[in-house]
Amino acid sequence: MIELLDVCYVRLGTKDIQTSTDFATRILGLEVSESSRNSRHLRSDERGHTLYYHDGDPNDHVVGFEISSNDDLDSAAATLEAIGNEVYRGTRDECDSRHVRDFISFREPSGLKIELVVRPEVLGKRHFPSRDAGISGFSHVGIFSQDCQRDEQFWTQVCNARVSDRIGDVPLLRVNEIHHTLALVPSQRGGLQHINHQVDSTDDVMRSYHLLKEHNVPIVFGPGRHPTSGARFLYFQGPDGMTFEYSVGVSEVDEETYRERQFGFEPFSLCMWGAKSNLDGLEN
Amino acid sequence: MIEQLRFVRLPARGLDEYGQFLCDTVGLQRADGSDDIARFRSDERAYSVECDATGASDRPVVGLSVRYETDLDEITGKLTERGLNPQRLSPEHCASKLYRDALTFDDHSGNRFEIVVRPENKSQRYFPARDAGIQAITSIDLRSPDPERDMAIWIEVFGAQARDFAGDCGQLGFDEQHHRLGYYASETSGLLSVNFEVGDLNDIMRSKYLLANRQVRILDGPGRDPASGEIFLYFQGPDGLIVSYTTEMKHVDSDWIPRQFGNGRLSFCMWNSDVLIPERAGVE
Repeated sequence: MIELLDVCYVRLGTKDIQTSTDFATRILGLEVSESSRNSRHLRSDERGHTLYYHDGDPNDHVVGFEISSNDDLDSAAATLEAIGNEVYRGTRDECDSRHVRDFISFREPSGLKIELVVRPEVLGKRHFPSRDAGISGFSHVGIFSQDCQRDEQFWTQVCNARVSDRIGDVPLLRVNEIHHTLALVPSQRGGLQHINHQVDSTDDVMRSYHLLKEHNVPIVFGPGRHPTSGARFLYFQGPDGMTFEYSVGVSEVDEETYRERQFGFEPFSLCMWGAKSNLDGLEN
Repeated sequence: MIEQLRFVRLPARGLDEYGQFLCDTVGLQRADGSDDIARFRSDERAYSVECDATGASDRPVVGLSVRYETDLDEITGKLTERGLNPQRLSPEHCASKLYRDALTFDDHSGNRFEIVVRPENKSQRYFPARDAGIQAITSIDLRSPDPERDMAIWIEVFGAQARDFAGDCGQLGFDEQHHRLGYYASETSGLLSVNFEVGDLNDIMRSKYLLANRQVRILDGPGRDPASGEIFLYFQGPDGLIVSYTTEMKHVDSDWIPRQFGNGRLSFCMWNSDVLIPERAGVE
C-alpha cells in the first residue's frame, strides 16, 4: 500500500511562460519563489512551491504527492513495478530542481504522470502573495479518468486513498482528514482536470468572482457550493485551457465515524445553489 | 422611541402581478385581504407588505411602530415644530389596517410614513410560498434629494441613530440591528427597496440562480455591504418595485460610532458586484 500524505505540487508545460506567470501572479495571486529563463516556481503557502511552469508541451501535466520516507519510496516503487507500472527514479539534479530529497515517477492508469516525493521543502520566509486573493494554500486536484471505477481501485487499493463521496461513479478521494485531495472526472482523455487553491472566506471567493469577470477570465462554474464537501467554489480558466478553482469551507472527515455517501449524477449534486457547470467532463 | 419596522404599503394598479411576484418569486405568504387590497406575510406580523389598489395613496407608505398612543401626541408636536404636517388617522382606517392608532406624515422629500401603535401579529406561524428562507422584513431603503435633512427627523424626533454613511447616503438604526432605514442620495424621493432577511448565504445564492433561471432581473449583487456586513441580492419586481434578500447584517451596541465611507462603488459592495441601481453605484 502506497501511503500518500498529501498532494504537494503540480508541474505544467506551457508555450508561453510569461503569460502563464502573469496569470499565476496577477490573476490567481501566487508568489514567484524562483525564476529562470524557461521556468517559474510559484508559492501558495509555506511550501517552497506548489505550482511549477516550464517551457514545454501544455499537455504535459505532473502531480506530486508527498510520502513519508525513502523506505516508503522504495516499497512504493516495488509495489508499482509488481503491478506492471514503469517506475522512473529522479536524478540528483531533478530532485534539486524540485526542492525534494528524492522522488520517483510513474503514470497512473489514465496516463497522468505522478511523482511521489520525499521531504519537499518548506520555506522559513513568510509567503507573500502577489495580490490579495486570500489564498491559504494549494489543496487538491481533479484528474481525468477514462474509467472511474478502474482508477478508483488504483487509488484506493494500490494507494491509501479512501472514497469520501461519489457523484454517480465520480469518486472524491481523500488521503488525509480533508474531504478530498483527488477527484476523478470521466473523460476520453487523461491528464489534469483542475487545480484547487483554498481561500480564507466566502468574501474572497466573491471578490475574485467579480475581479475575474472584470479581467475577462472565463468563469467555468460558480460561484457555487458543493453539497459533498460543503465548499463554496469558483472555477475559472487559466492559460492553456487549464481550470483553476478557489474554494473555502471544505469539510474534514472523521476517519472513525465517516461513511461515504452516494449522490445522484445530476446538477444539484455538483452545486446545491443551482449554478450551471461548464467543467470539462461534468457539463450540465 | 421607534420599536419596529412593521410594513410597507405599495400603491398598485392591479393586484395580480404583485401577487405573483411577491408569492411565487419573493416567497411571501398571502394573507387576508379584499378585492382591492392584497396583503403578504414574511414573519409573525399579520402582514408586512400591503398592495393597495383603492387609489388611497399615490405613493408607498412605510409603517413603523411606537408603543403608546401618547407617543403619537408627542410625535405630532415635534413634527409640527419642524414644519412637517402629521395627521392622526381615523379609528376606521386603523381598524382596517389592523392597528390601534396611527399618524401619518411625509418627510421633507415627500416619503410617506405611518407611525402605528399595537399593530397585529398572527398566531399562525408564517408559511412561505416558496423555500426562499425568508425570516422577516428587515429594512427599507428610501431615496432622498437630501438624506441628511430627512435623517435628522428620525434622529431628533424618533431617537434613531445614524449608523454609517457612504458618500451622502446614510443608514439609520433604532435597535441592535445595524440599520432599519437607508436613505440614498437621489434626484427624487421614493421607495428604493424592500429588504427581507433570509437564513444564510445559501439562501441568497440559491435565489440568485433560481431568479436568473426565471429571467428575473438582478439589479445588484450578490454582494456585501462593508458598513453593515450584510450580504445582499436586489432584484426587480413590478412597477419599479425593488426587493432584496439580505443576511449576516451585523448587530451593534448603543455606543456605536457612525463611520463615513467614501462615495465609491466599493462602499456599497465590497465584492464589487455588478449594479444596475444608480443610487447604489457610487461615483468613482
